[in-house]
Amino acid sequence: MTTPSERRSSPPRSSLAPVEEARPREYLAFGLAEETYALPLSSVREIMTQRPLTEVPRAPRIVLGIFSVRGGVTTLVDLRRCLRLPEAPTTSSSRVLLVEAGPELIGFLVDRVDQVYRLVPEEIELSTSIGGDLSAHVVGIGRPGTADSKPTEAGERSAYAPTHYAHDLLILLDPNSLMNS
Amino acid sequence: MAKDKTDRAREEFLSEAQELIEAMSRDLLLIDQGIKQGKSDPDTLNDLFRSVHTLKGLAGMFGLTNFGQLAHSLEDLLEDLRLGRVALSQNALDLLFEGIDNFQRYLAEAKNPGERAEVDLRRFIGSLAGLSNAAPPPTNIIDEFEIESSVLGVLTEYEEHRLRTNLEQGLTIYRLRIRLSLDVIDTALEELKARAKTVAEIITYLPSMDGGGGDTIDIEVLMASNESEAELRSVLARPEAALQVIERRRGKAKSPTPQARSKSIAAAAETSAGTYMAESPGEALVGRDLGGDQLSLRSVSKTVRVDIGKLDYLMNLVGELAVVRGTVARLTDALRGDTQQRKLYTELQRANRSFERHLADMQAGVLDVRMVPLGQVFDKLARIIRQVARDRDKDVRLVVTGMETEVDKLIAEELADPLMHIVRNAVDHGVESAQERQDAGKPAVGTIAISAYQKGNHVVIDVQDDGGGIDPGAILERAVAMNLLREDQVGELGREEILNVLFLPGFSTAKEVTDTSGRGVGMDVVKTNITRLGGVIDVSSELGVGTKFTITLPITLAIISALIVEVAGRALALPLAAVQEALRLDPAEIRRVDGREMLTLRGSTLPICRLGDLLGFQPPPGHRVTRQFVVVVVLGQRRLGFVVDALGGQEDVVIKNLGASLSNIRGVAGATDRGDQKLVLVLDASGLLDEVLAGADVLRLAEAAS
Repeated sequence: MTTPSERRSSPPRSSLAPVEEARPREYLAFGLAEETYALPLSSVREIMTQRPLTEVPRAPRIVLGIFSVRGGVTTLVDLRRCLRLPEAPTTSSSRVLLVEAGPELIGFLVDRVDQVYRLVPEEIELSTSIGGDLSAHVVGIGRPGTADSKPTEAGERSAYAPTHYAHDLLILLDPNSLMNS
Repeated sequence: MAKDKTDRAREEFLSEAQELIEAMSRDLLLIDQGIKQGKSDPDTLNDLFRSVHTLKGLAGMFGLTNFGQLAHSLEDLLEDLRLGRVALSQNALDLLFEGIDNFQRYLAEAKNPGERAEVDLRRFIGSLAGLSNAAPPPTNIIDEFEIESSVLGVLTEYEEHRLRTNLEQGLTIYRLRIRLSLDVIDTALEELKARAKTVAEIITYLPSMDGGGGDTIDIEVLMASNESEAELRSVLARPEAALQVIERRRGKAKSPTPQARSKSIAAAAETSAGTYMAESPGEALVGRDLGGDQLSLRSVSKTVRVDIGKLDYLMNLVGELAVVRGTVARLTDALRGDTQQRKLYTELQRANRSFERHLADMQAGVLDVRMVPLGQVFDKLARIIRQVARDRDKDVRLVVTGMETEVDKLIAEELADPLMHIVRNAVDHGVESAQERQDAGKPAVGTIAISAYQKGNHVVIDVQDDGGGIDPGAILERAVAMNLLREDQVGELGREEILNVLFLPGFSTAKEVTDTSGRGVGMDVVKTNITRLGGVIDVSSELGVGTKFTITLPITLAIISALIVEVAGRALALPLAAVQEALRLDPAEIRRVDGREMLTLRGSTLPICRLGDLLGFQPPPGHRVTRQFVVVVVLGQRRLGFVVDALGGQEDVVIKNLGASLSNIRGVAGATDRGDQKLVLVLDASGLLDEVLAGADVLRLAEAAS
């Protein structure tokens, strides 16, 4: 119950929006070739190992085939092909990310899964401000650890371990655009 | 699935409204038919009135003002109609049909928040009111008959109207007086009503005071009938009842009615008739607890409306169970050789067989729940036919048989559009004007006959008109003009092939063509829709006699019998419905004709196609095939042999759709889980056949053009 006078006395920045924006968002980082990419954690439903795959003739080039997830049919997409990276054979560290990509749950094949990062807005450079010839799927670049928010354990380790250079730069992808290629 | 209660209630309302609107549409068509045959059917009109009334109540609950206003105004008109204040004319019917269309629009608006219903409600209500105001005053034919004023005085307006209408139509009015025991009065009265209904219309029944002792009551029934007194007596099977014909006024009245009692009941009756919201209006008198209403309430609660998504979910679960069963069977088999576990093996096998049997029953049960009668679809067609016929000023009769034939709900829904297209064309272009028909020696009223019947695992729907038929010459002319055919090819085509040009994509929908040729509006779309359902459409036509479209559909989409084949190391499922036979391929018998491989099968030529090449499968390294097989696939009149590496036997498979990103892959109908964790593609056999054979046509045309 706020009286009019109380409301007038409260400072304008107490409206919730800016606070909400400053809250860190979680991203799942994964590797493709030498780079580290990330998708919003909220869009990732599950991480799974590869399942028996059935090839689909006449499918778009990015589609590797279909596989069964709990009674349903799910499409497996090669994220390397999506991002026009060179092909590579799958390894024991390859994983499938079940991602809500637009209206559909899609399995994306990635080389390896790293960890979850929390990024505050100051740690994200939007692609619109970067310019250059970025893929349409890239929404921005994340630089974990540059603001005062701390990455999770492994990230911390990597941030201070010079050999893990890939981790200072996350290429943030838009899950909704990935299937429009 | 996390919907809050309001959402669910709203969904419930929408589907109930949809059902009510469909019921109303059915009733209207019945009334329309009745009028054409010179019969009036008060019960149907009452049903219609009830539906509108219920709809009004629902709309009010969900705050749909327009919906409610529309229902309210229609209710007023229907009230006038059933009370005979307004004559049931074609104009009135047109308005009622328009009202239903408006309901549909509002419903679409309510379903899709983005949509705006294009309804001029003010104008519509205006025309309704116009109709009501133009009504002539009723005649006073009742006064000419010997009915006591004491009875007349207690008749409701509706009953008076029914009495008047029946007298005007020359029916005999009977008065029946019967003594009923109070403890069985409910059942006895129901029985009496049920018996009387077959031969007569009950106008009213009144209890009378001088009904003997405390445990009996006399009921006086006024009814109208075409039957003789003797016939009525035998049907009622109440020898003790006093039956009497009401004559034209001459002598003096008999059998006085006790006034005091009936007055008070009449007063009560008037009230309840005025506020019949909760009751069946036709039976408002005497009381509300005679059993009829409870009966209908009970029957309503026996049906459950279920979202089709939930049924799909159940179907998926059944499929999953089948997979589990397969695994258990495999594990059981592994025990077979083990002498120490023989007893366990036998018991497991027995349990598994029982599991299998119950699972099959369950699958059949779930499938059965998904089935709906085709009558639901045909009702919509009847409306379209009526509307188009009125627009074009043609007289068309619809004859439907096999309404009760059942198909999967999904198929029924997807079928509505193609069928509508076909019947609209049939009325628009098929059936000639009354004048033309008479000149050709045909009955002035055109007939469109829709019949459905089950044939094995398929449902066949025929749509036949007795119109002018399709002129093959006009089709050819147009096809040549559109560069779909070359002039020198024209002579080569048989009658069937010419008619099939109708289904070619790109065959024009241009107006001047359809007017001369008779058909062709988007028939390729119709064919695509039918094919997508796994069905086949054929057309036959005779100039001057009529046209017949035959649609053959699978009964359900969810489970199909499939032939498992192997191609380039991959297992594939071919729907068995399209497969005619499978045979060994003898490479020595292959002939090349026109760049295509052919076989001679029992004296006729069978084009063959290597399935692996068609699908672009690379054989895995080291893949070796010693002998191959030909699977003969049939679509309508056409056949094609698919060359495969191995035959894997027949299986019932649950088809699952591929995701949205793969929904447009030609030749693939879906995938199925055979229980070994790996999905198997289910091919769209007819689509592939179409593609291969049509591809040949395109090639031929391309060659010809160069």
